[in-house]
Amino acid sequence: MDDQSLVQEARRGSDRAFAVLVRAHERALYCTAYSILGSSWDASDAVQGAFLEAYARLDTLRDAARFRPWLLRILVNTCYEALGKRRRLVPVGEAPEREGAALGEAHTFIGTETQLDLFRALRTLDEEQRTVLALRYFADLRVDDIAAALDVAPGTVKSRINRALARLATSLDRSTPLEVQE
Amino acid sequence: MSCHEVLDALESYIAGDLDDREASRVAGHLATCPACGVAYEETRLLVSELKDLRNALQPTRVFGEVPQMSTSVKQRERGPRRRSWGRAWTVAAAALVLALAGAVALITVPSLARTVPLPVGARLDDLQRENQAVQAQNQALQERVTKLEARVESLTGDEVTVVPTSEEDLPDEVTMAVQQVVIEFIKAQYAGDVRRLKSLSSPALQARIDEHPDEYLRDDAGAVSFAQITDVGVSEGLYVTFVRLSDTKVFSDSQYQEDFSVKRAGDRYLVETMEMDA
Repeated sequence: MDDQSLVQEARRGSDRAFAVLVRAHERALYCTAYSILGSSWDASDAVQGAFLEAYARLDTLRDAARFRPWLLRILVNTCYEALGKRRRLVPVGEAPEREGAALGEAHTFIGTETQLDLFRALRTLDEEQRTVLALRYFADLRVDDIAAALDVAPGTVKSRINRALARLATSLDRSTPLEVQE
Repeated sequence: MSCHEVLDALESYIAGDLDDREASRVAGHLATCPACGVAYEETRLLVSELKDLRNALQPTRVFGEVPQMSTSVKQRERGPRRRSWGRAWTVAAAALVLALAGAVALITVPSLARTVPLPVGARLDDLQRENQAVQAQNQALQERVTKLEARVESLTGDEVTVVPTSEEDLPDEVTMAVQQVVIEFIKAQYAGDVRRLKSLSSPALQARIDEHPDEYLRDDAGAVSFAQITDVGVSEGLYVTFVRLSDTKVFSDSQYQEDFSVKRAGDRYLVETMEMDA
């Protein structure tokens, strides 16, 4: 069943339909939140919070077919709130978590060595760049939807994506022909 | 089209976001410019690696409990709650044991949050604070729980792992009777047998089944398979037990949970409420 029908069923009160939506999107949301927040437990909380809010506000979603961009927009806000809170609480910046260590993490890394390298490289990007890449490739959003979620112009999203890809290639020691001159 | 413009548009080109005219201009340039051709291949590779990376992270927390969590919000909005868990402890313990025993990572917070009365439109911060408090309680509980062991029993012909939840002892025959009615109820759900379902239900639940049969029938879900059932607890005069199960169609690669409260009516036990946990 597609998102649209599931949203409609969930609106009619089917918790089961909403559970299916959660299942379908939890991984994309988690990976996105983790990319933004850099902490697996914060990411977990953010995803939980975003689903809860989406559930409570399901009636305010105008176009049921646009559930995912809408959900991601909620998630981004939830993540930003968490970042704001963290900055108020911990003035020392982000303490990186070690990836791959299954114990004490809210996820397990089940990828290859190459993927682990990419994963590490991704974490060296700044928050803005990590966020656009996550929304683009983990959440599969269109540039327009990313722009709406981040409240910036589509052109800004495009150039952020380009710069982030170039940075990523550099830190992977690959050639960076994509680098766009400023 | 200049190299600069092409490089600028590569990502959109790979994503298929360009219109036909732009796309063919980029393609034309790539065919004649080896440097941009290399850039194209490398970007395409990087993008596809990034997309795959999503599958390399396996979240260990289960978010599917969310809807159940907010059910209490919804019920409040609809009117008086059908029941309130007075002795949250028993229920919390049962939920915790299931979460621990069911190879599902720590997701006890949402299950527990159901026992916290949620104000309508509660702000998420408040909720998170409550959750933190509950989390602390969980840890204490967890220690107790690890001391308890599961056992396997045969209920109405089905092998089910029974998870003990508390040290209080109900008579064995009560526990067995409650668990049996619950197992029979689930079987009737999967058989799509409304009459049988209602014969196992209290009048209140019978009315609810008539009203929303689709919430109770699972005949589109294939064959049921029982994973675990908790020991029976008591909450406000009702017997409480949780069952974890899966089936061959809808929940074929994951389990879900049904939370039951059962009422004694003379010499019979009848299901008073059944709520689904994802």
